[in-house]
Amino acid sequence: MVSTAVKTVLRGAMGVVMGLVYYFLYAAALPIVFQRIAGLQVSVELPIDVSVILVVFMALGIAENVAPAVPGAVFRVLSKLVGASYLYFVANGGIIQANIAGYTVTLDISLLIYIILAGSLIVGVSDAATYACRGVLKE
Amino acid sequence: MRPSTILAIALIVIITILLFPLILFALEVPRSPPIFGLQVESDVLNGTHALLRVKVSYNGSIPITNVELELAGKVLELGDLYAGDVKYITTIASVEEFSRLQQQMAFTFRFRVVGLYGIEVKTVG
Repeated sequence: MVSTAVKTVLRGAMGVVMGLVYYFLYAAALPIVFQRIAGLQVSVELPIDVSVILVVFMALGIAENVAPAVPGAVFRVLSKLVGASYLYFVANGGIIQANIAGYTVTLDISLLIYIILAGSLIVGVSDAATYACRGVLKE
Repeated sequence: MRPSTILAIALIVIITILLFPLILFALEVPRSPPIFGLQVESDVLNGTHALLRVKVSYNGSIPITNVELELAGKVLELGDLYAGDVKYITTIASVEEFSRLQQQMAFTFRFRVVGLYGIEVKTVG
């Protein structure tokens, strides 16, 4: 019989892992892809310091796993929204400019950024809805 | 598995599939022979204008759409380019534009990778 305190701690640990997943997906993945594929040193304008965004994601991850039904559901949407909007600003809305070999190159991936944003919202809202309904039904 | 987890996995799969052509294109760019070829030949028509013969070739495997070349003040539309395509376009430029072109080859090259991702390459200066 596992006590509720241990369960909460386990859920908190799960939250930290989720925070790292969010950080990887939203903050680390796309810059890594860009730097790997073309070796481009694209100057990415980070709106917030890396350590700050990592802490934010971890806090949201913990909150969404530990908080009860309805507040937890709110955090489930917030984490996706914070992540997707951070990605939007880092990618400058999908329009990235660089100077390579004497040319000015502009890359427009706004369609991709939009799909990530819309998809994150869909996942977040559906996640929030299931979490809220399940939690409320248990009470 | 929760429906939202399935949705999340589906989203990641979709995004990875969408990124594929762009990554393949980017991997082909630094390879030689050069992925794009641009050649301009000219004939002086009369005192005020010159005829420009432009040859554009594409060596990449990913289809390129909405290809536009801006040269000597004119926008040349080249449509779609597939692997190994070579297209010729002739245009008329004024003598001022022509002499500017002879001093420095300035152009803007625009296209979309598989119609999804826009790229614009502009000469500096």
